[in-house]
Amino acid sequence: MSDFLGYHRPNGQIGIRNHLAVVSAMDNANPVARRIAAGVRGAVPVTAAHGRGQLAEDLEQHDRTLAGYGAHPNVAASLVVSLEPTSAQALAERIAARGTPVEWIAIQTEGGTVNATARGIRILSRLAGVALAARREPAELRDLVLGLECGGSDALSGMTGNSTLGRVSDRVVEAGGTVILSETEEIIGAEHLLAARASEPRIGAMLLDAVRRTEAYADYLGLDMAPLGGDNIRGGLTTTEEKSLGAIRKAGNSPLVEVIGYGERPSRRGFVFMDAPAPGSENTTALAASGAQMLLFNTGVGNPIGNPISPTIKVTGSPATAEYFADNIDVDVTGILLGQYDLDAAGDRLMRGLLEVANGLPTASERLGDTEITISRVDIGFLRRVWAPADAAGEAVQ
Amino acid sequence: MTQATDETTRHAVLIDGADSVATAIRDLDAGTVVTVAAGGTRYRVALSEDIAYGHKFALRDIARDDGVVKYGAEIGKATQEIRAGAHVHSHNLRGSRFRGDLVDRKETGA
Repeated sequence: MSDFLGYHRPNGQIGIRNHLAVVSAMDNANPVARRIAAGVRGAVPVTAAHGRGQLAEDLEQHDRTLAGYGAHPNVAASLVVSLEPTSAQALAERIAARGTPVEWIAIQTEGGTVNATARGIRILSRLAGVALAARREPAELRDLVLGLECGGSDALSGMTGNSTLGRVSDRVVEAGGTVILSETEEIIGAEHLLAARASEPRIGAMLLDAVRRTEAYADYLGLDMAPLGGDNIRGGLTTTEEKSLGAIRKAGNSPLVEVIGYGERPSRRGFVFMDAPAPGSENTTALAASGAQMLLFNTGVGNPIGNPISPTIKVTGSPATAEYFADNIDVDVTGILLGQYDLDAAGDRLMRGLLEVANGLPTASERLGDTEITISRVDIGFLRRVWAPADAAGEAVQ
Repeated sequence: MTQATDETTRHAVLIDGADSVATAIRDLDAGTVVTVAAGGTRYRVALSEDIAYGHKFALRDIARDDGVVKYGAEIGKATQEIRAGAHVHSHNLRGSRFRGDLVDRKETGA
């Protein structure tokens, strides 16, 4: 049986796009990576902030995320660009280990921006042959990993768009596929309902630990982290608990089979939770790095962002948003509130849209050319206030 | 989810029969009489103030410090008495979670 046509990679992955990725290992190489990507048709720049001066777990998360892009199922071949050879080669080796064709260049070795750009375009145009040789062949829903996202939520998002995503999640999981719910802040207050769905106690405990860690951060800062975005509040959302109870509806009712870390790949099929921060660009960056071929993104009052490698389907159930944010919306399920159809029929609409995008129909954010990638920092970095002068700590200096 | 039962005007949704609030699905004027139902529970309330699209209103009287229920679960506590038909939002409802400001700094030594 075939549900859609996808690119079957030599390493067994199945992609729904046939990108060439130009992965910048650190931010000082981003301009060269963008120039190279602009020079070859079908190339997408993967350019995040930082990468230089990061250490330990913070660096590992950055590199793991970039490797996830370089070896993504939607990527036919990758070119890694870095400032110097050590970091370029290390990242390229990580990508090669996953079976994706990859080459690397270092700007210092090439002799600056112009030479590196010229060499990069030359290498990438040769790698383009890998992409040109790929053909779409029959694939099934069970081959898909879907990332679930909501942003710019309003008080009706939970019962309209998120519930529609939930219907599709259940159908994909039932077919043997995988869905990844994330945004740890946005399960606070609803975590007990997810933990109760864990397929084994250890997995439920991991989920509760992720929530405890996140909530402990609010305690550490001594801040009320509950105030939602101004857009959420105007949309009628009042509390963290309310937002979370609506947010978890994206994941339907399937058992929770795994909890993974930021940008990690699921090892099991089914409903998976990823422990990663909720802000839209940050979270979609992590979901795409996990190998999700597509993201389903419900928005209440409107959020424009899409991922450059994983096509991001924008869904809304808000009639006003469907109208004023129309340029960014792919699937309109406003008929739920307008009384035109029920959630099952809304799920059918989203499933049709999903299969069209899987078959190659560009999403709104693909047509508009979004390329934003934001990798979360671990422990913030050099500005972390582990020390302060006495006067700044509130003790008067005489 | 059961929609408003009024055949001609759809005002609001009640998600779970246990909920103490309903959510407006259009801008509603004060004085509008709204009927909502879910899971065999039915409410008919007159709105005491304007309720914007997506905003919540009380279906029954809620005492100060009582839990406010939506999705069949508690979404926070009432910070003042809320009468049936009144707007429920940041002015009279506070969440209890992700509230580092509630931690006693001296006690924890944080």
